[in-house]
Amino acid sequence: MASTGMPQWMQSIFIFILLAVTIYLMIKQTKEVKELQERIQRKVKRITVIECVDGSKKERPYREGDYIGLKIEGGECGENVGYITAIYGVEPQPSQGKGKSDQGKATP
Amino acid sequence: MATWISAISQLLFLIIFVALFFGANQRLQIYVWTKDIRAKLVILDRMRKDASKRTMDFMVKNKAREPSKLLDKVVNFFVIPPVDIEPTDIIRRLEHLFNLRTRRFREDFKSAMPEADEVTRSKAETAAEITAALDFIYRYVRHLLLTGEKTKNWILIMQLQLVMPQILQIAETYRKALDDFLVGAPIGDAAGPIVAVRLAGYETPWRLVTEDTVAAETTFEGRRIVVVKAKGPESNVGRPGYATYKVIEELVESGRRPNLMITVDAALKLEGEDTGLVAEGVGAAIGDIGPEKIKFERIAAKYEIPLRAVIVKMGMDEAILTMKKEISDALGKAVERVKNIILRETSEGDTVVVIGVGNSMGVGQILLGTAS
Repeated sequence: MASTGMPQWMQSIFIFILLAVTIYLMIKQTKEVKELQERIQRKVKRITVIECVDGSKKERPYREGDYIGLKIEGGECGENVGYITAIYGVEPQPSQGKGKSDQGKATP
Repeated sequence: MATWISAISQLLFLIIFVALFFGANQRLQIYVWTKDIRAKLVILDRMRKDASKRTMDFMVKNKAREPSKLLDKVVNFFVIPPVDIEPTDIIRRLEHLFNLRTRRFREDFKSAMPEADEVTRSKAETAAEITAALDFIYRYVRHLLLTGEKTKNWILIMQLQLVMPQILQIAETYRKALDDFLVGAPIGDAAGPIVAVRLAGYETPWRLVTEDTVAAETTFEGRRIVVVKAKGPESNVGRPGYATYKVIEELVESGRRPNLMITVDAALKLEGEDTGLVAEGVGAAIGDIGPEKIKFERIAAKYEIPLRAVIVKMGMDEAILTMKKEISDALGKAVERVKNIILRETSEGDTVVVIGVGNSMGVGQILLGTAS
């Protein structure tokens, strides 16, 4: 029978590398699942754009019941009338660096 | 001691060598793949349960009667496709079945949520449909996995493992879409209806053409523009093909055959393309399975009306999630593109029909005979 010719110290290193790769893959998979959960529970910031009849354009956070074409009397347009002309969502910035997030930072 | 270790390691290598001949490597590979699929199946299960809970909470909050019974019914509802080896009148049969499905759902939600308004009911209906989609994805992946294991079909398991990231991505998009639909803000697919509203003007009154599709009339540079879209602001795609057919027949009867038809819709971009790219072409821009699209083509061919299309490109996820700013900004360009086509291809006094295809959630209109 032919010998493998692999010395003991080399076998130990081989087993150690195998163990390290397995642990790395396990951590990676757990991280992927965690990231997926985070992505699903994202909070989109929705903005409502109002165009007043005087030509001015105002933006405010989306409120339940807002829809494009809704007539706005008073409020953002003062004494004028306006219409909601756009509603869009802004995705929060993805986490940067190791576990650091820019959520909660002041926005201009 | 060293001799023993050497003997054991040599024996192990021999066993591994022999095992390779009996497919041990494949079995090991299948084991790893199966474990991976099972881990992802747990995520899919969590998503469908979460979606079901969110939908139930929404229905309970809006005083639905027997919400779990209704949700179970929607989740397990099915449509048997019509016979296609005999294609005669297949569109009519397909349309009949899908209209029946829509009507069935609508009536069920109406009787289960009598106190809720139309917008709330449409949100609950869409949420239930998304829950049904997530439930189906989970059940189908589980079916393939168990079939693969039962029949020892490693090719099936391998294929499933390879497409799992894509399946997860689709499920993730649906799960996110559920939250967005419950909020009620316009989604990417609302590009067509928003262009229609902007073209008609915010103060123009609309009339109901069919149960859930509306039309309005306006003028532009001496042309008469008839605009069609799904009724909003509820989650609704309407029946744009049927409504356009009806509107054009009415116009022809009154002696004003349209000179141009333009469909505006959101379209899937190819990977690498920019979101919000506006493009134009020929044909009916609509993503339905056939019954509505064929109506555009039939009416255009019947009266020889040029059928033009303007699309706003976006990804699949962007089409069913809250509208992104890039898409919202592109809608101005789409309106300009429609106006350019009208100016280029028609003359003063002509009639043009513009159809904003897509989901009208979060896109309302002043409806004739109602307060808003």
